[in-house]
Parts: sequence; structure tokens; C-alpha cells
Amino acid sequence: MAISPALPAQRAPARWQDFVQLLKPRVMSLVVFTAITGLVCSGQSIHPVLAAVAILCIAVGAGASGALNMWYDADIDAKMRRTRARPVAAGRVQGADALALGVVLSLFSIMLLGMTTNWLAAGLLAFTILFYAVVYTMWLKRSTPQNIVIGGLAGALPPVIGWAAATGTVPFNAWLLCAIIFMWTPPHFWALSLYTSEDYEKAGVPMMPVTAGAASTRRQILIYSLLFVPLCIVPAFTGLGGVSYLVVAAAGGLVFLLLAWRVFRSQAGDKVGERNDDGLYDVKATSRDARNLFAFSILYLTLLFATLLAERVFKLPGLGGLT
Amino acid sequence: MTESVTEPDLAEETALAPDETVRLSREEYLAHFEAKRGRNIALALGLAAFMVIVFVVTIVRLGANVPSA
Repeated sequence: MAISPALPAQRAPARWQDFVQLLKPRVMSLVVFTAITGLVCSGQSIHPVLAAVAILCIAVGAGASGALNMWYDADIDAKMRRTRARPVAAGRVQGADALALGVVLSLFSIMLLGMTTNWLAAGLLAFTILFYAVVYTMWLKRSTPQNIVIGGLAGALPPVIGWAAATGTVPFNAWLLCAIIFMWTPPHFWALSLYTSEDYEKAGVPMMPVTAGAASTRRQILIYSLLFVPLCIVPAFTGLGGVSYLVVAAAGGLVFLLLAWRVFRSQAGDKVGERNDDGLYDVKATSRDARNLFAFSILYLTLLFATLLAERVFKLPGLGGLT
Repeated sequence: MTESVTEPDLAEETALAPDETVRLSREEYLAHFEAKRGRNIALALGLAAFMVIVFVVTIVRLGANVPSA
């Protein structure tokens, strides 16, 4: 197995916590949240034990693809401030161990999900893991600035898997949840990459600000935002979301568009070294608009899905529609 | 305490020849021992949890196919 010269020699012994870090727990929590939303919004009653195991399988599958990503991208991760402390990049876990963990957990999660719920859900989980690990990580990420646009499909599929686990089908509304996350990904990641492009450039990752420049990225953020916000309103008219959802989606959407407009008018990404050392949100004045959009995008997506969940759980009134 | 390093991958990552050895200090040995024990316990708990999950899922799915009396 080829190991990048950028990797440091292994020094500290690998602890079990390092293997947990390989599973990207923060990403996993978002996957769990969106998968639960898909499962609950399906409206199909499912045994709570089977529902819990289904969500666990989706979470473990997401974690497995994270481990495969860290195995393959260790050379890139070691060059970027945001990722250089990851277990493989930092030399705490060997690449072969991360690969083994990723493969074993992938097989276990797919197999268990198939046996627990249905093979459509298991097939979708297998596709998601393969798409993230092979199509995104091994191919798109290093070859095209459209990497996160196309690769975003992997992050958008968990609600579809949750829906399929509960019902054995994937109707329009399930794909609508997928489409919302898919369209959310470009403005979210490009806002972040505007003030971290220095890292991506150093690592040789063709993120949009690196290849097309900051001005083009800001324009594309605005275009994607103009497509994304109306899409967020649609569930209110297909029976998926209710009145509360419509209010949250519309009000939050306006704020999202305002922030995207500010990014478009700003000079975010024009200079290098826009990010300070204190975490992901500490940036210089010129990149504050991009930082604000990045932070709000997380809040907005969370609010949208939380509202959908709350409406189902508390049976809040809807506007009628497809379901 | 001396630990043999023979696996090609490990040798490549640590820049050691396959027949070279690493001499660990007592503190390093203890750290490796503790880390290995932690990993083994975590693996055992994971496997036990998997067994329990498979058992419970089997019971639930079987129960769904048993007509109520």
C-alpha cells in the first residue's frame, strides 16, 4: 500500500477514542438527525427497536465511509489545518487499520440494515457508502471543482434511507428531502472554502475558489442560494411540511438569501490568510459574510428538519398535498 | 522491552527496515499496553452489542409473524 511521504511516522499508540474519531462523530450526528426525519416523516409505523437499529445502521454506515475517507485522504488531511489532527493524518492510526475498520463496518451495517428492515434501504446505504468513498473521495475530490456539488449526494441520501427503512419505498417527498440537502451543500461548503481556500490550494484540492477564483465562487453561491431557498418552500405544498414549516422555511430562507447576497457583494476569499487560528469561525473582517453564511446554513438546515420532525411528532396542522 | 516490527506496511510507515526493532521505554510500553487493552475492551463491547442487536431483532421480527392468541 502506498503511503504518502507527508504522513508522520506512528508514535503514540492508537487508543479506542482514535477509532471513534475515524467515524467522524459530528457528521454522523447530522446523518442520524436527517435519517430520523426521513423515517418519521414517512408516516409508517415501525417497531421502535427496528427503527432504532435502522438509524444505528445508517449512522455506522456513515461512520464507515468517514473512516474510508480518512484512510484515502490522509495525505491531503495532513496538509490542511482543519484536518491535520485527524487520526490517520496525525499518525495515531495506521492507514490499513482505518481501511479495515471502514470495510468491516460497511459490511456489518449494510447486512444488518437489510435483515432488520428491507433490502431497498440496505442497497441505498451501500450506494451511499460507495458513492462517498469511491466516487467522491477517490475521484471527484481531487479532479474537479464540482466535487462537493456531485459528492453532496452522499450527504443528502440519509433521509431517503430512513424513509425506505420504514416503508420499503422512496416516494417524491423522500427525494424532496434529499434535494434540499443536495442544493444546500454547495453554498454551505463554498462559503467555508472562501476563507479556507489557502489550505485547499496547499493540499492540491481543486475547490471552487482555488480553480475559478473567489468572485466566481461568490456568484455561484448566490445562484445556488436562489435555487435552494424556493426548493425549501416546496414541502409545505406536497404534504410533507405544514404551516410551521412554511413559516420557518420562508423566514429562514429570506435570511439565507440576504446573507448570500452579502457574500456576493463582499470581498471574501480575495485575499489569502483570512482565517485566524481559533477554530472554524474566527475569521478576518473581509470574510465575516462568508463565515456568517456558513454558520447560518447549518442552523437553517437544522431548523427545517427539526420543524418537519416537530410537526409529525406533535401532529401540527398541514396545508394538504401529496401525502 | 523490545518489540519486533516485521510487517512491510508498518516498516514503511515508521521508516524502519523489516528486520529492525524498536526499543520502548517503560512509560512507552505502559502507554502501548493501556491503549491495546482499551482497544480490546472496546472491540469486545462492540461485538457483544452486535450479538444482542441481532438477537433482539430476530425476536422482534419473529414476533411480528406470530399470530396473537
